[in-house]
Amino acid sequence: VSKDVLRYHVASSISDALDRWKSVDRALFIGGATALQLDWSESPLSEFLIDVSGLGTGLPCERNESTIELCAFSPLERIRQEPLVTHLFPALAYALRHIGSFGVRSMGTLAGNLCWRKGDLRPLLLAADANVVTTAGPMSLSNWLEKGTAGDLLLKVILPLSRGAMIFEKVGYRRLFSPSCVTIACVTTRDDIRLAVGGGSNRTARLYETEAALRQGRKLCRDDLTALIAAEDVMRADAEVTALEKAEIVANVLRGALIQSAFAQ
Amino acid sequence: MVTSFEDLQRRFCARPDSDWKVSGQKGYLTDLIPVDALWVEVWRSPIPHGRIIAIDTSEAAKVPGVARIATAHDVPGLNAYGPKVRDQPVLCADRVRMVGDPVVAIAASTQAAARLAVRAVRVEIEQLPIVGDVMAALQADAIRIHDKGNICHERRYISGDATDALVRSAVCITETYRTGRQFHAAMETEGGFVVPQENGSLRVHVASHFPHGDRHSLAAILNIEPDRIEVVSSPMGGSFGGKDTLSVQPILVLLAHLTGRTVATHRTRQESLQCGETRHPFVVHMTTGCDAEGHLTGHQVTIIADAGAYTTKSIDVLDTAFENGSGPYAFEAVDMTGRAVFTNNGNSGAFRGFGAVQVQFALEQQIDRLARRVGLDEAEFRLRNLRSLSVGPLGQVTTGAQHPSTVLSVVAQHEIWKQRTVRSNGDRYLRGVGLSLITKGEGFSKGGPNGAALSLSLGEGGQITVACSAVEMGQGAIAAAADITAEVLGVARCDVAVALGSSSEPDAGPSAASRVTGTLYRGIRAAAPDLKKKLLEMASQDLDLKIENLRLGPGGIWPNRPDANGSILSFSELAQQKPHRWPSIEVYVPGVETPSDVKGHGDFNAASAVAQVSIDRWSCQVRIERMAVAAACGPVVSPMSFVGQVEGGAMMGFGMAVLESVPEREGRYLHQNLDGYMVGTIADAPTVEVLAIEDLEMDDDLGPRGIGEISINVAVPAVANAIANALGCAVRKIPMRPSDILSALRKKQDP
Repeated sequence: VSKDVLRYHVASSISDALDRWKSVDRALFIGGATALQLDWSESPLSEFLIDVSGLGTGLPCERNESTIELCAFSPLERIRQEPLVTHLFPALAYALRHIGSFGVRSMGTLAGNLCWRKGDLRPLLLAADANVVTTAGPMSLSNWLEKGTAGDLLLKVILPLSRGAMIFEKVGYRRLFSPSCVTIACVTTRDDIRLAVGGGSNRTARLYETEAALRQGRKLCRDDLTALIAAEDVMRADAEVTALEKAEIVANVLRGALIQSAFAQ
Repeated sequence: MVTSFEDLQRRFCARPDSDWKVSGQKGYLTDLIPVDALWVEVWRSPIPHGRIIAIDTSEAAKVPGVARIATAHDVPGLNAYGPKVRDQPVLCADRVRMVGDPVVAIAASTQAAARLAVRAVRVEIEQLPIVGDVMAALQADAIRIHDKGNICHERRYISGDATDALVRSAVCITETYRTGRQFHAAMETEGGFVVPQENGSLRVHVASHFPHGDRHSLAAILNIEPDRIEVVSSPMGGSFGGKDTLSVQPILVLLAHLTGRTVATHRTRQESLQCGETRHPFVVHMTTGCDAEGHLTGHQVTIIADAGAYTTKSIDVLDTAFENGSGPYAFEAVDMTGRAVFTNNGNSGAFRGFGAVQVQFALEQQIDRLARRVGLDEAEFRLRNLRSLSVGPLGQVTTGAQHPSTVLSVVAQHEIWKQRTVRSNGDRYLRGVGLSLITKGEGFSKGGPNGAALSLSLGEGGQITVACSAVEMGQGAIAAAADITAEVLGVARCDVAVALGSSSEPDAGPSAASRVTGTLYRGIRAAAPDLKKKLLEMASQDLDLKIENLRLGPGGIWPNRPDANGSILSFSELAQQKPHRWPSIEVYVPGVETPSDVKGHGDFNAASAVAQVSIDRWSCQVRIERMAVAAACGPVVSPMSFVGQVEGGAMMGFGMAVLESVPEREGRYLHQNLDGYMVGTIADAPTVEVLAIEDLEMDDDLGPRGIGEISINVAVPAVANAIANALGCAVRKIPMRPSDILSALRKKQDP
């Protein structure tokens, strides 16, 4: 696709955005367009961009009895600074600090990050068992990512108030404003563990086999844990680190963090 | 005597050129491209090595707006350039040797039209075997990248019998070290414009380090006299060596010559990485020995540098590496072999630290390992083995002005070194502290060009004007020139105007090898007495006062009395009254060269550093936490620039040691942009304490020495040694990327 003939439409409403999307081939919804910039040089672009950044009308964050609801159109930085988020879901505020820079977060949206295959929030919100509301209806984030996000507009993200400990680790290539080598999120409760990875070149996915092994209380040395993670076929090599090395890094983070949290308890 | 960081800070003075830079106003040459210029884009080879079979530009010629298409056949003169060996084609005629080699250049009315036309070019290339590794390049059956073979340059140095000395040694360390490919990543990528003049000459507005030298290369391409080319090359938005040699200039002058119109271009970041030059990756093999008391004995060194496709600066880079192969240390015997080797891995060229930093990393690892083996403190081991000050590393006579023992003692007493902690095995983070000591030759080695010309004059507006072709590239040359002139003449900084970076000014030689501040200092001091005398003579006539009753002061001519509190004739009044007699003094100051018949430097300066790093055992990330650098580079002319150079060098050194790498596969770079190539951000920056040893010997009239490169030279080995101490094993390659840290950690106890 020639990048010199891009067309751009500012959606006036959700229905306008969906109608436009259906009316042309290869259309793409954009919020802050920050992920679009990062992908600019390495993948074919859509020739029709539909700007949905102006469609968010509600508050960025609202509390219900056992959940908080995030408006998917909200800029990431706005969510990071939300008192409800910092108090009730500090892991999300912490994670957002490690995504992009202040400038990028001020433009990039929650929906944009979740719809982007490299989005670092994906593993965190998967591990947190988040649900979403899209134009196709409500569903779990896991189901939505599995079925594919194209053609749907993400409207809300619903986070259950966590009763467990959360671990989030974005392993980058420098301290901040870095692409991810691998992003790891884990929620542990007294009798459960939910583990997800993603970021960078990796697939975003829950590591069900690894979760099961940890849930059973199996004593896993680093090599065993690495092998288990690698076998889930989620890690993908990039220019610097092999898939197996990434699995080993995840194993190191998990072992270190879980041992640390066990000591903390 | 040590000048502390606080003392340096107290002397800070904002640079004269800081306002427009900090406020983001237009000022660099690529900001000034005329809107009516033809835009130039280039069809570049997508493959690393191949033979050109056919070029078809017929469809490109049909694109509306195309003004001229050029291939190798359109080059009227020499279709080659290069600083020492002219082997890089302006446009490839029959062969491509790297991804990004230019084959067809197109000038069009707009950038979009030029790009569209480039996409319409069809070039048939027969692929040739790719030489993607220096060892493969040296094989007897390797395909020859150039007619002369794959050895770009080689050197040998023997002093004594190193084999015998090593055999007699109590301890020997043998190791192979590898260094990576670093990208300059200057803020402003290569670009600019060329304007044909009414008299048929060309004015080239493209950043470069050597305006006078560029003229000769560009004139040869066009087959015209050098005086028909004027080069304006300043100010530039950073270089670090990346703009040392010609980049876009050959194609721009060609198309300006062919079209008779102003032409312009500006490389994208991808083009800058793909077509520009990078730091030479090195393979350094060292065997180093010492006796049981820790006295160095034999030292065998083999250096193989990946020159890439063309010679560019590889000869000088290897020569510099060679001279630094034994560092500031005294060995009984040394045996060094060095080769720069052609490959199809892009193009390697000048880079801050310039060949020295690669071997300094390796040597300082060796020194630390030997010290530990004989049970000596690393600083004490170094002090025990320093070479005589008046002898250079290749045995040449030097000025003896370096202070390696002074800088080392300062750093060894620093709290980071004295309070270095034992490595932790229980926590998430491993901590290590490393020390380094290096010396660096001042300016170029024997044969230069080490001399520099400069003029000092009273300008039309009454400003005292320093002019020469030295280039402001962010290092603070303008500030240095203004400060030195103000101090030497006793005038105010605002009385001084600085005109740099044009070939129409006196030839100051290349703005490279950290030599600009030193040459400015010596040139201004040489010219100042005569200018002062002429200005006072003029004032004497105007004021009808005796010369001895007058002096220069801030703003103009002052009465030569202790109680004088202002000028009695301003410089602007002086200039107005004598419109046709503005005095101008032009001087040439020779450089410092060794009297020995050795291709080496005649003057060295020294620096020592200590770095503290932490290594995250979970994520394999390395963080540099603190650093202290002591540099003996003579009097500090511009403290803010001095500190900035050391801090920037430390950060760039950390980048080279940890963050920055351009991995390649089969002649192709795997990173295309700054989203994959990691330059450190402010979040990665450590606290750097800068300490200056400003004292000079009584008879030393050379003044300030360069600080631009020595800061990275000293930082890289300090960081590498700190990582080695944290990991408890040698660092055999830099950068130490997560894979390398993971591999080292794997060998340690299971966390």
